[in-house]
Amino acid sequence: MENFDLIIVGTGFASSFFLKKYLEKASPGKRVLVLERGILYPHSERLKKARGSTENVFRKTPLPEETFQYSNNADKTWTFDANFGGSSNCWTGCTPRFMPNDFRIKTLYGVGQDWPLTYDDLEPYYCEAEDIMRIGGPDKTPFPKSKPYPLPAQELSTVDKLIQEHYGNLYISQPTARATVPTGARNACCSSAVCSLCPVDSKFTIENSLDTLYKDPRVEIRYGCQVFNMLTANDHITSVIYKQGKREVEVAGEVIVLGANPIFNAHILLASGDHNIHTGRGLCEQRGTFAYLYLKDLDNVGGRSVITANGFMMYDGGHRKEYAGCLIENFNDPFIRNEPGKWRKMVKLKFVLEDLPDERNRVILSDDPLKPRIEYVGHGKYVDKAMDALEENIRKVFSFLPLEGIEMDGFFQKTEGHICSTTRMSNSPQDGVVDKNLVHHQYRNLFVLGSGAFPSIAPANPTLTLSALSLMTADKNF
Amino acid sequence: MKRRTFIGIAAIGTLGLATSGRILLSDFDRLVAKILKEDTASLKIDPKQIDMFMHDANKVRLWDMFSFSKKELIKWSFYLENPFLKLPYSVKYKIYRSQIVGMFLLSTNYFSNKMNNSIPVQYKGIYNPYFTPCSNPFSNLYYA
Repeated sequence: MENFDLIIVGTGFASSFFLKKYLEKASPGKRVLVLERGILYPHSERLKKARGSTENVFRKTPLPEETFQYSNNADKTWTFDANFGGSSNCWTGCTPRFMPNDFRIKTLYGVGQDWPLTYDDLEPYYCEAEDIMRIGGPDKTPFPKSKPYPLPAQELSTVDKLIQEHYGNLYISQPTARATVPTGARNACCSSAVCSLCPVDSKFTIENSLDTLYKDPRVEIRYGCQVFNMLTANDHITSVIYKQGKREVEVAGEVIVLGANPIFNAHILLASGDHNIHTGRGLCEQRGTFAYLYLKDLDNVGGRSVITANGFMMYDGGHRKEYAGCLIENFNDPFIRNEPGKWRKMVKLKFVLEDLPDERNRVILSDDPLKPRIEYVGHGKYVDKAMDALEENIRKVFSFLPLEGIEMDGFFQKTEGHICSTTRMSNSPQDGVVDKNLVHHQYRNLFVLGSGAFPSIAPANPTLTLSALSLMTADKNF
Repeated sequence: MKRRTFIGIAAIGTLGLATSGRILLSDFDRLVAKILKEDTASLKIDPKQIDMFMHDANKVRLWDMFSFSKKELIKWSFYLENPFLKLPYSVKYKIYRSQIVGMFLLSTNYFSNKMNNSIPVQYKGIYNPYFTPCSNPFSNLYYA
């Protein structure tokens, strides 16, 4: 049987940031095997498809919903890209940090679960992740920073400027991985507003910025290999088993890293006989809803990219004892207000509410060894209470603007694309699956990366935080 | 039941069925053209410009951006909308209708001319950021 020093499952943010730090520290003789279930589906080929090309050999990659079984709840979907680079291929590139209080939500507000680490523990790795992704952001932020952002902030719109004047650091140009100036292989973002597949390859992706990791002589990458089981002996993972076509292959590794998404990480653990009662449980993500502010005599123009700014006015505070914190995103796609003369006298805001992991929402095994099954009963009352208070809060927060009216969507988006909390970190196995270094409480040669480790999910986008966690865990363990 | 009541109920039922049938069978493309003509009536637009847009929109199946249920919502809301009764999903309808008009105006020179109502609006080609990136007319590129 082949034997490797390190076997990594997946090539998304969590795996790639871990691999980057590992390779910086590992000796030249180390052997790393990376198992990617999908294919390398290049950006250029994705663009051809978006432009209507029918000569596209890459069309047959599975849709997310074809990779798992779903028990219920048509109003909630889970989205990701199961190919090389993972969801870096389809993300929007929003990279606010979590706030320091997000790590202590139980202590401060009596809800959810504290993280076994602090904001300060993660801060140097936030800086490093921001540097790798070449994040553009403002000088002043509501969260403390020890280093400035590597790229300049994106431009605010006319309305953003008014809101920032009113709220200062609580309303900032959104920190973003949509490059604000050309950098590396990436072009500058020019606000095409279709970020899931950027037409000018501006947003950070693994393919355009970290592909060299996979060309390192120590690394061997195999495509089309879906890991579905691991063998264990004496609380140690000895080997992983993957399927490539119809072939089952077993490979041995000294250290194993699960860097698939939280649905598949949990599934692999369950299939391997992990008996931790929390494994697979707590599946959740933020819930987003839109509101439209109609303005009198004020055009909303001049902003950069698809989301110009983040508002933290409803994010942190005593209300989190009762209901979810909320991150505000100001959208800048070319929407209009359908009233002659008022075409752009309008703001389109998204309100992103944190959920609390609920053990009833979970990943379980199915009758198909390659497909997890998701049981999702719904988001918690913590979210619903925030939704109930939202309209009044919006009226309070934006009352200083020249408003003609406010309209609420009144429903949640089907997904925020932020799957979290199926392998939560904790100080003890009674409270979670992995420790603060993302090492499995039982299998001490196994790392379980990604946002599955989040004990609480915060209202902010998870990608930067999970990438920083991967850098930290590789740095502290090798 | 009195004869008069029966006739009343039958008449209302028949009218309801006829209206429902008309809405169900109505053509979505024609409805879109009607919406565009109504909502851009205050602009300087030769109706041929809308026809050209509709022709190209059909060619690229632009209205597939709306699912069957969304199309039905647009149709029912359009025909039943009135000032006396607030219909369900009115916010959604407003958004979808704005998307239709927005797609048309983004496909013209109207926004690139900074919404100048004195300049005739001309159709330029279906708005698609994959063919013409960087063309979001409200962005910093156009409002420095």
